[in-house]
Amino acid sequence: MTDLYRVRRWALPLLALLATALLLTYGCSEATEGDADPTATISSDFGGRVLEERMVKPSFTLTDTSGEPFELRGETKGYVTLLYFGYTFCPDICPSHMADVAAVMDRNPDMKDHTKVVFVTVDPERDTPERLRSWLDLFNEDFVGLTGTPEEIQEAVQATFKDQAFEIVKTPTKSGYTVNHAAYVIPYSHDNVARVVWPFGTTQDICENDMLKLHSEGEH
Amino acid sequence: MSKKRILILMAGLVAVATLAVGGAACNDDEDDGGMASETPTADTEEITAGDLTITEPFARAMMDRGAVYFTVANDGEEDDAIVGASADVAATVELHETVTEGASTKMQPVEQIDVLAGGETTLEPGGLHVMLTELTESLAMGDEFTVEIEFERAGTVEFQVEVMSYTEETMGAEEGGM
Repeated sequence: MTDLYRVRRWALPLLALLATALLLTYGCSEATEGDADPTATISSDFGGRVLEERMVKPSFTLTDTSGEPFELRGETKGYVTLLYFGYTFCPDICPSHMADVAAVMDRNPDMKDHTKVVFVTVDPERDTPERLRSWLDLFNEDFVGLTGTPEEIQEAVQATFKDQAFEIVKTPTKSGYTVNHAAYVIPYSHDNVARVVWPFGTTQDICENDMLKLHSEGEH
Repeated sequence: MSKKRILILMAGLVAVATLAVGGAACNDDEDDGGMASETPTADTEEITAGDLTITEPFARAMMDRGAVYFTVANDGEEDDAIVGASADVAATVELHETVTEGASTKMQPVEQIDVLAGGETTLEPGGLHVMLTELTESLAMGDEFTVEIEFERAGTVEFQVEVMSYTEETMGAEEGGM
């Protein structure tokens, strides 16, 4: 018994040290993003998670928060387009992504006329157009909110993620339910291609770097 | 016994020193080490219950939803667990974990969140959290409210949390700048 304790009480501070070292390594490599991290710059100058296979901006039609049909390819033609699937009852991941994108947009006012940010709800039942609008307005009044029938939204997920597509499922909770979604922003270039995604935890600096890169490509 | 304690204390000191040195190194890499992200609340007083110490509590909230995060360390020799939570600003409070499978991420309720003997459990954005639903009052950045976290062994611990911005965690030092 005593031996067990000795091992445990000795092992834990050591483990903590190891974990700290690991964390520091990770933390530091993240901090040097943009200039020094070789793995991030081998295949691309993007700081986000580089995709093995590029994603092509899908074509789907949903309904915007003013009740008008919104055909993604047409409405965002020629714009750098950030696409996100989420829901307003999501307490941390969705608002963090939107807040980061909004902050980058605020810091770069030139992007306003050349960028479309499109948020598709995966929870059309609770995310009424009004709720979606008020929620998005807390970040940026230009952000587009899209909804539709559950079938239409599932088709949009299919069109966007192709073989990575997931089925939208509700998980019951005490107070209702939660919904699964993709916890990353997909930034498409002017010519409709995404080479990276921004998973949860991507810093604003990385988002900004990638957006500046996307905006510098091609002409407006 | 006392010898053992001293050794553990020393190991702890080494860990802290490593952190401090490492932290400084990290800050050097960044342009500005001004607003450190490791102290998310102004409230630095220690929250303890038996062998448990709770640090870095904070909350995020938007419209009628919110979440509470903190780190809890268990210096005791018995495992403990978070088994319940309540808050004076929410009608329903749940314990959630975040699960990712391929492109799909979801939150799901958990019965308890373990805080193992000698271990540390961190509730953080994108991971484990105390989910507040049906907020009974709207919360703005800087607001404070009371949460009660119920531990299996240590009992109920009450403390204040401050509502933080959604951008702090991922962007750290540059919040509000530029």
